Amino acid sequence: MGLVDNAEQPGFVTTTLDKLLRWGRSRSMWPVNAGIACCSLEMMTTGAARYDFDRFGIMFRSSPRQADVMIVPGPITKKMAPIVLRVYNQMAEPRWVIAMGSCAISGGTFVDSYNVLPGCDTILPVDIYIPGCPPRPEALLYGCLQLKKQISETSGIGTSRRTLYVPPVLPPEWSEELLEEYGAGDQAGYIDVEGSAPAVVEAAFESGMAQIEPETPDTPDTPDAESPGARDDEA
Amino acid sequence: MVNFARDGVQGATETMLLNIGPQHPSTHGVLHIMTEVAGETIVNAKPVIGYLHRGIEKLAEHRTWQQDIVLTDRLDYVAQFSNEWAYCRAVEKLAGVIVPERAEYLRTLMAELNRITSHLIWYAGVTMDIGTLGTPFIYAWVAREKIFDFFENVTGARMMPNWMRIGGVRTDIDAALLSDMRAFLETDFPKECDVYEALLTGNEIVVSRMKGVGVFSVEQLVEWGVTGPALRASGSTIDLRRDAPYGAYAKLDFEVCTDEVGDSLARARVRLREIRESAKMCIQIIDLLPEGDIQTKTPRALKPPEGDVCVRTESPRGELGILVASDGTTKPLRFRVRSPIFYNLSAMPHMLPGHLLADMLVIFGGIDTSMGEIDR
Amino acid sequence: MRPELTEILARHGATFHGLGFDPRADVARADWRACAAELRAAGVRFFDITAIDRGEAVELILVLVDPPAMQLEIRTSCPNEDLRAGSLSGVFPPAEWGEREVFDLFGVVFDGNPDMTRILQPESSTIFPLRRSFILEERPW
Repeated sequence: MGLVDNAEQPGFVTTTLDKLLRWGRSRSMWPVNAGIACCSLEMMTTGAARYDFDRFGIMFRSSPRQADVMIVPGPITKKMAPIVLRVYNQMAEPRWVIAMGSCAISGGTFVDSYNVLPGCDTILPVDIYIPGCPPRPEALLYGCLQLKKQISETSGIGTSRRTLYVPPVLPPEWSEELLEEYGAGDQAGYIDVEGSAPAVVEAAFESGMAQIEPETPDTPDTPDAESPGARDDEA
Repeated sequence: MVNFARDGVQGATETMLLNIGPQHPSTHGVLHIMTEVAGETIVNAKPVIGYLHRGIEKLAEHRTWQQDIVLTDRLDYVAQFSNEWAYCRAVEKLAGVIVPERAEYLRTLMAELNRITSHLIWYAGVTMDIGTLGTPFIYAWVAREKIFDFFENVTGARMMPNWMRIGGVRTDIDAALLSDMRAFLETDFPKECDVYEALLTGNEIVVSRMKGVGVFSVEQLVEWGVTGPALRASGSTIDLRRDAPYGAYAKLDFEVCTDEVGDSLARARVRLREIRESAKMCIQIIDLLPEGDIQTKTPRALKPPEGDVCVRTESPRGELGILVASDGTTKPLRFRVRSPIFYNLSAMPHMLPGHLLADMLVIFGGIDTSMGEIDR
Repeated sequence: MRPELTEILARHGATFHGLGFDPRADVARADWRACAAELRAAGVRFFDITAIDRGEAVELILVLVDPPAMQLEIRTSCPNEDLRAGSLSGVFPPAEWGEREVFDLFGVVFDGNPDMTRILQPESSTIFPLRRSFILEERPW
């Protein structure tokens, strides 16, 4: 795409396109329907009539492929962690995470439990933290509006791609297959799917389910303002 | 394996394993059901739980008796007052604490209001699963928000009230708020109930999806360990509020809602009638409320004598049992929650086979799960 | 309590105790399953199966309900060296899940349970958290 090629030399057309993308993305944040615990009731309440957040363009989608925000409402247990990560990885970029409630921020009431991760930011890159137990619907709305502000200031061209997020530290309780799938934690950060493919994606190519696209000129790396993991260029 | 022959062609199909959940669009929380289907018919169903196991029973042993009330809120996070009440009753029985009469009435009042909100969550969830796209869901929230306003006025929090104490309740309800509640329950709420009934039992599509689906007899359900409204919809009259009354239930005049048919529509009707009965009970409580203390003073470092006790209450989902064991210190030795939906869900492998996949959510909605209590 | 139930429990060598709460009886571990089967035949309903770690032994508690509302507790004890008991899943179907939970949290194996696997913790877990020997690690608040 010629416009994307020229993105590193911002001109009138690309900055306007950039503004358009930021405007559009911030006004249509679609969360994935992943309710975990008590906070999901307040999430549902925020979607209901009194605190309706559909008026901000926030519409729940059942499939993570169609969503771009993940609101994590509740404690992440060791059994649930791989599933939350798998759902997150199915979302296409640009994607954001809102940690809702104290359990998702730090483990909350259950921080010393043997089965609860101390916060969802051990496995996900979180953008907004909303404290509360559960946060009031107004608090969740405020958090979503803060995310909207963040999106309208930082997203832009060149950030739509499919990547696999590997958390830097994988809990040792995860089963062997999952560790293989995620590369045993030594490829932490974002792995470009077309680049060094983990075993799962490799198998997809070999079986013919996925095909390698014909050669296109390399797209330049655009700095990702919201991603904490560095892109590994040598991989 | 299913063999089928058509136009002279012999064939055989294998059964397919279909994973439903733990992330799914319905509102039931992190439930994972591994169903084995042959075509559309369910051959086997196995619920996999534990995705929300927070270890509350172990954590309770590391908190004092009073601090555990905060944990009980988070068990069945839809019916918080029943959990708190069950726990407080158990500790009071163990420690020999008598609760003042006004506190008993107030506890019953809030528990019955909580039953209304809990059944409304069930109503919103089950109708959404059937495919009504959210109309009853939004209407259910009207009454729920109004009752949440009451909760917030009394306890300070919408959802996690942390209101009951060992020996009574934390805050009193003044006369103005009581008359507001009474006015709402007497005039506006029955009209809301009419709307809820019209949207469920008056909607012929919903009725045709629920009628005749999942018919179980009382003997089957008792054998499988099912309790609560799901059991009463098949004809049983077991209701702990009537059989072993606690709180102010002995002084109230209410009917135990049962139904004879035992299908999913009966389970829905029983819950809708229970909402009305709860509203009537609340009005009676407000009229009969005596004056007095709201809390018996208990020592700050409460040390119940050694021993253990198991206490059963009727939560909106069934018979909730709390077993507390004390070794004479300020922290419990054991805190066990007998979750009604844990055992109701264990009946799924018996209930589902033979039904169509599309009916699975309807039957499942009749059980009314809340994952916080199943997994603790 | 109904005389039939007292008679069944006496036949299995139960010793009654209680602090003025609902009746509770101790039976020997070998009589666990037989006693439960006879009580079931006498018409009691299953309520709960759970355990308490008493230090040297794990005490199993079976809570039953005699309709309409009488509560009865049957207890037995498994020494630490031999955490096994007979399964009640053939007698009371809901006990299957209850026993899986006791296994998951305490490590008591129930012989005869058709599915003796963990139910609440992940399958790969190796701990039995509700034992006294399992110390919860302190995490900074």
